Amino acid sequence: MFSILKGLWIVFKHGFRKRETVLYPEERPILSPRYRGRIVLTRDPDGGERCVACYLCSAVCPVDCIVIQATEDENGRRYPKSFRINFSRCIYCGLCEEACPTTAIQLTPDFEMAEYDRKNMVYEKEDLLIAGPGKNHEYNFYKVAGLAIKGKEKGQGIEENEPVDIRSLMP
Amino acid sequence: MPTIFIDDKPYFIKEGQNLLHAALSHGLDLPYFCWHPGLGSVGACRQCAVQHFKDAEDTKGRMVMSCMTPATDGMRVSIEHETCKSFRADVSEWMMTNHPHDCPVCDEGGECHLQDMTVMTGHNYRQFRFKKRTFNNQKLGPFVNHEMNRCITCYRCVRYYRDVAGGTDLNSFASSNRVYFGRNEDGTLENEFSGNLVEVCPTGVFTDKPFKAFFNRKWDLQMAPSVCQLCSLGCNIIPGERFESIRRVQNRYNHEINDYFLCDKGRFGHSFVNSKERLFVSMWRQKAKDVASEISQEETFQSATKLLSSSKRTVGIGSPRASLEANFALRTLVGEDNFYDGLSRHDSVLLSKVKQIVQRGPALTASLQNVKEADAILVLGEDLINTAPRLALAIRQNVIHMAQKKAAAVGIAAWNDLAVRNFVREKSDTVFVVTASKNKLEDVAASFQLHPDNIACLGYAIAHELNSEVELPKGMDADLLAKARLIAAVLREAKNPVIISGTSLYTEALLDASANVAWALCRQGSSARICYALPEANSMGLSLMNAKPLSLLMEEIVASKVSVAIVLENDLSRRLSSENLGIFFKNIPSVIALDSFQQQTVRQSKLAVATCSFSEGTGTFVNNEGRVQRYYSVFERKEKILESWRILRDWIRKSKKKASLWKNLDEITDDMCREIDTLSAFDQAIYRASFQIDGQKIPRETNGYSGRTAMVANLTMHEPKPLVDVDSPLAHSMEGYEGQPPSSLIPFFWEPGWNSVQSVNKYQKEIGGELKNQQPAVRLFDKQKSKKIVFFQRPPSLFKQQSGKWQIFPRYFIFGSEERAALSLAISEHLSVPCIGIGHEDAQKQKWLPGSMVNVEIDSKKWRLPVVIHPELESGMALMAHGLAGMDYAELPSYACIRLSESAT
Ligand code: SF4
Ligand code: SF4
Ligand code: SF4
Ligand code: SF4
Ligand code: FES
Repeated sequence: MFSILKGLWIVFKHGFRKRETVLYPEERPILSPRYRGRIVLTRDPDGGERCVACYLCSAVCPVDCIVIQATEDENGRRYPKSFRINFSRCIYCGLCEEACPTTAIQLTPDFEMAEYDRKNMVYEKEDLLIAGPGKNHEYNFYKVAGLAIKGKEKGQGIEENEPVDIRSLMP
Repeated sequence: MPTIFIDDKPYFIKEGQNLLHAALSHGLDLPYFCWHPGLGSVGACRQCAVQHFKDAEDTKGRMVMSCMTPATDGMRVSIEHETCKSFRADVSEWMMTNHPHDCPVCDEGGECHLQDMTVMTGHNYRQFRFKKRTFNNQKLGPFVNHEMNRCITCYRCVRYYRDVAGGTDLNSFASSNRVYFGRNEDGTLENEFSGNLVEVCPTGVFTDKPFKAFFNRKWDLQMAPSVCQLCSLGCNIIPGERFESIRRVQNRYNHEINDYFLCDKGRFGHSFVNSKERLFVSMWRQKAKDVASEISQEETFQSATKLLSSSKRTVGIGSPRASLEANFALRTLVGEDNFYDGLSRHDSVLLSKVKQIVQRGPALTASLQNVKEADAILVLGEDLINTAPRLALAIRQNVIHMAQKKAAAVGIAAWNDLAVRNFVREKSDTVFVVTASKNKLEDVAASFQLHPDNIACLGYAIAHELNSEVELPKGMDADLLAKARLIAAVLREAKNPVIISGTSLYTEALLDASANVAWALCRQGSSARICYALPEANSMGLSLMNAKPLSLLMEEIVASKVSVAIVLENDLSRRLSSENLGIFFKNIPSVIALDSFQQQTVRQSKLAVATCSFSEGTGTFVNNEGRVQRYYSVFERKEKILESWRILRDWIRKSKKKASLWKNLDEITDDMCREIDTLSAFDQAIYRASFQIDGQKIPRETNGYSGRTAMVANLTMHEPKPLVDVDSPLAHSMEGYEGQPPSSLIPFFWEPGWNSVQSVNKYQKEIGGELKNQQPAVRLFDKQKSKKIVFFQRPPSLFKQQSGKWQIFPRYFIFGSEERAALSLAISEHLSVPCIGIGHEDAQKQKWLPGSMVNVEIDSKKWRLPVVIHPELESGMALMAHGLAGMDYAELPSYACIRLSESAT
């Protein structure tokens, strides 16, 4: 009997607490940047497309909802010719972000993705690619990779020596 | 059987193996780089270290390189010992100090031996904090991409390229930490087997260049066991598909044929299926002059059956590049009397001769493995590098094999590559290559050039030496006779010699002569084998169909009143002179052409029916040795295109009112085996569609196949259910049996921890030997041999030059003479150009220079071609490029006048 009354009392007390729920959509919650919502493709600090179409996100995705086709531009940069995420399948697990070696793919705090038509949940590359670097402001994969691209020849990357002169006779 | 103890467990081994070979053969994981089963050991990379103990008491042991240590009975070693384990991790770490941060953009990633080995050794954090060494890359042509930063200096590339493939333009440069692998300067790799660098190099230095433009990871490709479509040897391949395009072709290990290596035509030629010339929809042309209009599959069916039902006489023209099933379906539709082979006149004659020789025996046909292991080889006439490239490489492998045998006599193990090479430095004295022009085997074999008739005479003379029943050609000079005697002496000593010839010189006497030599050897009791390079992938299969020669049809074409001709996957402009082609189209009102791409016959036909290519259809080929092999469709298009045999079947169903004829490939196969005697063993070569392992089909997709739920999301939200393959035990799916299927059904090689091509180790019974689930090969001509030998007599007379005339022979090119390979993007950048090859003497006499434009006149037809000088060519003969696009068909060999063209430049 006493415990029932105690329980009722606690519940009654909660009625006067500060509310955790907000009146969405009039009021919007503030979510941590680490929140796992809508996925974007970011750019490196120079504005270049970050994604190098390495297929790691698509490989790791447990529901296989990412499909990519790689190609190369005239500057020697590999990039995704097409990049599609089927958000009606995505479980927002964030594994793609974790797998991405270039920090290109990132989950954002935007969760408002409901659609009347499932078709609209299929995002193509132009829907995914944003203008900025997202959560990571520094990383620039091609600066640390060994591959030469236009504007960064062999030996011009971070922590790289000048290319070897193979005709040199020095030991 | 010798036993060794690895980590205290006993393992039986074979005599003469090294430790690494033995350990891998037992399925143990031992990292390695510089060793390769096709190359042997040099001990360069230090990755394969193991601990070797004196005896059971010894716990410390000493470190040895397993690839350089012979495995001997009772030996005790450890892979797991702390010392060698940490040493191996260190080796990985050293290799990684300069390794670029490239995996995400490296085409090797996901199938990289370096990745696999690094994971295996347990090295996972880079501690080296200094700057990395870099290299400039080279442009190596359309096939192979170069990214030198990724090199770990294992030396496999140069060892393969120079020592095995016989290339000279790839080398190592510089010293110490700066060793560089490349060419002296930028430029296309010259060797015809350069593509194997992609698989031989354990890193991403050499990668598949055409693949780069639309790259996918190995795990994302849909793959199936297939057979090369581009020459008669039938090398086994694995094409990989993504988004309905064949992305790349990899080697499919088959120890009896191509083992670890393919030629560049086979590796890069199959992307013709992606070419602009592909025919995806059928076309209808009301009148000859009309522009063709596209028609649907239903309309195609209607118009074809209408043409057929009103036809007085329908003939079928088969094809040496169409499957057995397609040829058989056509034969069934038109009846045996109306079925023609679709070959040029010479090809028909030569092919039936080859068939007669291999059927009659007593010499068995030789597989590439037989060639590799032969103790003497004689090549009569065939320019193998251009007509059967992998066979030329097999000869090189034979030379290595023979050197190993020589070295074994002084106790040098076969795998000890450098020692073998140092011991045997001279050319082979058991391989003889006699050709009309240079053959690219000069550096390893005894080789000389003769006129094709004289080569045949030489063959007769050799056979005469071996058995005097064979007639000796008249008038042979002493020099030639001496050569014949020498070759005969070597062959006589051999236990399992192989005699190689082929059809590309269009000289029947060469076939006779080579058969005589082989048979004479058989008479002596040796198990001599014979090997013919044939024109196309299923030439041998077509020869089993009892088709009449196309030339016969041409002879009676005016009288015979043919109303419909069905041309199956064949371009008649490559078989008939332009004049005869005109006659063909003029006299046959309705020509129906079935093919998977645009070609002249397709463009000229009334009804052009789109059929699927090898990548989307399943079928069977018989290779040059009579080996029956099935290739399986890799993928299916959303807009499905049918195989030729299915299209023809539908027409038969209608015209013969057999509504339930051939529901699947198995049913047509059964019918075919019943009707064609030679093919009765066929059943054993194939697995029926109902074949399953553990109640499951074999998946064409890896279990890492990604994008399943997004691939078609742009079209439909409803994920289609996997297509059902009614023709084969393979499934268009990632689900199915995950173990190792029978050898002919392996869609890809993969094992946990072994993502690269080297995972084939895990599929082999013994490394470099047969596969674990090896099916016995079905070779059609292994039985039914009569002991009685009837030699061919009447050798040709020696060639005599005709004044003012040249005898013209065809010259084939590895890149260009195969019409479909020429459509592949990579190969189209590497095509040979039309030309006429003249001997040095003739050119000097005529004052022609390389590049002079001449008119070659055969009968009344003219070809205007630039001159190429072949110093070795006998005077009075010339070699005219054959089969190249844009060149009119010439009936060769013929005599021609060659004159400097008026508008010479
Ligand atoms: S969040 Fe998870 S489910 Fe969604 S795309 Fe990324 S990996 Fe796939
Ligand atoms: S993991 Fe990152 S770089 Fe790789 S394909 Fe995905 S988004 Fe692009
Ligand atoms: S060679 Fe292998 S380890 Fe090196 S970058 Fe390429 S995939 Fe990575
Ligand atoms: S290029 Fe490749 S095969 Fe050649 S040494 Fe380097 S890693 Fe080895
Ligand atoms: S594999 Fe043994 S040293 Fe390289």
